Amino acid sequence: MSETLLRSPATDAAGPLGLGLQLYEQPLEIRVTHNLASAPALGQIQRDGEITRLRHWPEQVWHVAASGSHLSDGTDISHGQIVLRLRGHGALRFLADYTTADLRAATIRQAGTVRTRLGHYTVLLWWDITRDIHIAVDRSQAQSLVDHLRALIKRREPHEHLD
Amino acid sequence: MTQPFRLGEGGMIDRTQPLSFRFNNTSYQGYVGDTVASALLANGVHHVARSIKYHRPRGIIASGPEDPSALLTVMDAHGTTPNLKATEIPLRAGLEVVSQNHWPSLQRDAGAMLQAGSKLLSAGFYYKSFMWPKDAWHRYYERIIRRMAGHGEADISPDPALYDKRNIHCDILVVGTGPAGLAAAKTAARGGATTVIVEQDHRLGGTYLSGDASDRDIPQDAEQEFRTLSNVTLLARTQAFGIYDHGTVMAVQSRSGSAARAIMWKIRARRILLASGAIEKPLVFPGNDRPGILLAGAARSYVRRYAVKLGNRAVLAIACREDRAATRRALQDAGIEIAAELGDGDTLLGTTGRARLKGVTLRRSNGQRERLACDLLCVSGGWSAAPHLFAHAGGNLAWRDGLGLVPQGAHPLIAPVGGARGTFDTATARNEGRAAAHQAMGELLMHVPMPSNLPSPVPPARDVIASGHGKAFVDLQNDVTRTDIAQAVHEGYDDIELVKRYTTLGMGTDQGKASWVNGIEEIARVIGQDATDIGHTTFRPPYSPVTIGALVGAETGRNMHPIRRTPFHRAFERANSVFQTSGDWLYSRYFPQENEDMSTAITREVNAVRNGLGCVDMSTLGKIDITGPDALEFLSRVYCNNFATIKPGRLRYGLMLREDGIVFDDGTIACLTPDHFLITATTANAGSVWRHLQKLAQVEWPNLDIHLTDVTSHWASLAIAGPYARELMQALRPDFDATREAFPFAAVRDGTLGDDLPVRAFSVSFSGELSYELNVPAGYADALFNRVMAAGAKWNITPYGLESLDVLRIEKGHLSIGTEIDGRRTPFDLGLGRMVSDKKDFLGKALLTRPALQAPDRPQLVGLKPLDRTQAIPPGGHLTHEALTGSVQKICGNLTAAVHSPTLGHSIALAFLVNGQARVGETLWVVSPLAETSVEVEVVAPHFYDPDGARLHV
Repeated sequence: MSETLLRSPATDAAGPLGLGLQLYEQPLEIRVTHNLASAPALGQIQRDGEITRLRHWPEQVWHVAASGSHLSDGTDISHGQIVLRLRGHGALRFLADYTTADLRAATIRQAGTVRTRLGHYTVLLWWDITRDIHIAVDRSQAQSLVDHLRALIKRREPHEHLD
Repeated sequence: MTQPFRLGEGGMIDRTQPLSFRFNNTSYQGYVGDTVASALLANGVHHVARSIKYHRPRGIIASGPEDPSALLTVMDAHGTTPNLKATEIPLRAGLEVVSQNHWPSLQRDAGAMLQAGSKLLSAGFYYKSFMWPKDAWHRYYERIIRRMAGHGEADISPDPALYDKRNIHCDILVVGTGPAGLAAAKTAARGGATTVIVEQDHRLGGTYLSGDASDRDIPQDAEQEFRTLSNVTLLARTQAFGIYDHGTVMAVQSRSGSAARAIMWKIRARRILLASGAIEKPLVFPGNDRPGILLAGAARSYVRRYAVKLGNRAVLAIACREDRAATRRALQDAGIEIAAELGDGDTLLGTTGRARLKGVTLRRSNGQRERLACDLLCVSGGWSAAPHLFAHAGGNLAWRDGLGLVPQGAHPLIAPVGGARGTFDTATARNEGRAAAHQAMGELLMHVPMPSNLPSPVPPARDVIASGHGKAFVDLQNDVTRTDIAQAVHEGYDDIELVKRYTTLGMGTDQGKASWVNGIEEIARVIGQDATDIGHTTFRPPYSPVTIGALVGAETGRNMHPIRRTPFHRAFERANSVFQTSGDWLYSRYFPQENEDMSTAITREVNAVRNGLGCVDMSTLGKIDITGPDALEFLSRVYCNNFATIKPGRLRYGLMLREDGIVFDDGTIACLTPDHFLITATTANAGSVWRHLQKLAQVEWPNLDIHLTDVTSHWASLAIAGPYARELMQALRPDFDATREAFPFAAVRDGTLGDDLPVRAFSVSFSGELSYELNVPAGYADALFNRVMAAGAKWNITPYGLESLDVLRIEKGHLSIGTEIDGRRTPFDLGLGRMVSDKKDFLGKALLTRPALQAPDRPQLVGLKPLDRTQAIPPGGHLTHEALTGSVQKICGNLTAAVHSPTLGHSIALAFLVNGQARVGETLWVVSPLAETSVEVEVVAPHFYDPDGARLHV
């Protein structure tokens, strides 16, 4: 009973994915609010100091902040959504080959966020720079998605080095 | 001498890189840049296959995917792959290919004896034969036919190669890189459009590659330019094989020596410029299938591109004069003597030779008959458009003499250009490509739209080369002759669709690319109608065969679809769980101890829950957070039972109906605060309930002030169940009062365990024992499980899985989705009629009052016990009034579940029985025709264990 309470990761993603890409799990605070006052437009992202607001549903907004941050508003889903970070020079290029949405489309490029399908997985992506992509996925599917990304990277050519 | 028919110079092969390969166990040499077809021809090998039905010697006819005959099996480290076209297999070092459809060898094939009986094997012969003697079909015919039928042999061993599926988006997709395609691609690329270029060959250029030397520079220059443009993606060796919904183009890229053997591309383009070119039409004449007879365009390609001398003495039977002149030039450049050229009014009477052409018989237009020795016959009946992808997308095709089937009318997404629309002149095709690209960019508002009314294609001037009488093949791949088509029509199959299916014309791996136009003309001739009037069959994807691996991509084994793991997955792995898939979930099935089988483990686990303490994963239940001042009103409308008086900290069991009054789902409704509720949904219906509630909130009752949040995955839920559950609850040191009085059954508490672990605890039970469902944020699942196991060790706490959970709930008579709640039952059928409120309105109320749903003879849920307690009730059985008789019996009910109850020590079952609630005490039979078993049973109430629920309140 005296053990320290630790949040267990949902996946074994903790380093190199292959071809110069890094994949790891980042614990974040995520809350769902239905207060749309000052919310970003649908499909858009809004950064406000430590808080990132993502709106991909008409009636709700995600508030995202670093683990340990205090987010007062909304329903906590921090443990239900696993945020993977894919880092490396070709991170966006790699994902773009497998997402249904066109990550290079002007609207998505400008928004820096999109909710789409990656293979059979529903994912929410956002990024400040294309070398560092956040991939939010339902916790129950997170390990399976990591395994899937590993399977995909094996199908790339060595000369497609993506770092 | 190697490659005796390789020209000393020229071609687009790399002579500095010779390659060795084997064909039918004989070693040959070729060069990088060769296909297997060109390399075999360079080595003088023309006879490469046997035909499917008559086992006639067949050679290489074409130089691309339209070749009907040269199907080979490739053997490599990945196994064997049959039915690859020699014209499409790039030569690579160490390649091993073999011919198919013969025994014992290609040269001496016993199957060739069938030619002697070819009259008996005419169209549709299999519909009229093999009927006698009666039992011979299974004994002989089927075996023999299976042995003889089909091309090649599938390799059933696992394929170790990797395949991939990728997406790509673009403004403009250009399919094909002949004159029209290259012009279109260059215009689009230079115009700034994101452009994807798809070419089935490994080189760009299409017909440029078989043209004069100056032509061959054009695609090379274009390719160099494309490689410098970041808005261009060039996909060579990529076959666009179909257009599907919303214009998604599917293309498969073949790659050898790569990480992925093939990649299937899903291309989403805003505009598609279809420059898929045209297919040369063979001539149909007696003996037109001998090795050594090639399409004229293919002959030019082998000479110009691959530097192959196809023979020593050639006859030209080419309808289009320009093509004839070009072929003459090419052959003469290669040092091939032209023995004769056929022109307007001349007739091809036949050919001689066995495995290789030796001569041609013809009759001139003046009636003079000639027999000419030759080893090469170049034929062409002109060209026909290849607009297959246009047709896939729903575009209309119409017959035009001299052009074949050409696109008719405009399509909002696809613009055929060049040969694909019947324009066979190079300069005009280039202009069309450019114009179409400008037009597309104009439509996309990238440029100012330019007027572009492309003139209708004009058929090129052609000579008519006639055919003599005799066995002439229309479809070489399926051995369909002119006679077969005539016979089909005469037997009444006079519609083009029927002729195709009766004769197999146009079927197979080439899908009639080189035969269908001749087929239409032949059918029209026999029927006595114009080809314009007889229509055409539907072009469907795939245009060319696609390897199954590419369709599957990375989705094999555990990657086949997303696997959902519960937050306790790793902890349960450590606890030696056996997992099973349940829907998408990987769920814990049971936890065997050393040398324990499943049945023993289940008995141990159930006994632990009934007599001590067990724990089970309940995380997969759907959990929906509902907030807002109208939350209670919303829930009151959703559930059929009344809970208007629910207080914070309490929960109720709830039953949700569909609009038609049928039970949809069940679960719990927990009141956290007056305007904050948390409901649970069954695992199977979690997604459906979430969508249902969203629709109700957003569409049906938008005036209600509520908010819904799916929190299913946020919470890990572990139920602790058994007589010692409360002791364990208290041992976990909750910061709330967990005594029986303070935390009674059907209550909910928020707090912490051990001062730090946030928990939401529900006193509910699915097992029938005192139980608490402990919900913690999913990342703390490990911590919760460790603490529960440590604190519960005193009572020998036992993790249990899905199997034991099922036994426990059946003993208790609790319902399960898919078995009892199966989409056909009302609350009354399930024995839950008392829950239905008559004091409020709720979804499904109106239709629940339908007479059919109130009828007394509806099947109702009952329990069953065997009269002989040692007998096992067979799962899946039916209820009848007598034992299994072997004849049709009247069924009065069906089982939903049957298990051995460790608690009661005998078999029990749940069933739906007509008017069952009034028949408790009756004796019936459970019969299982599959298990050939009958068990006499007593009808009892569906609650076998603790029917009054006393154990929930201990």
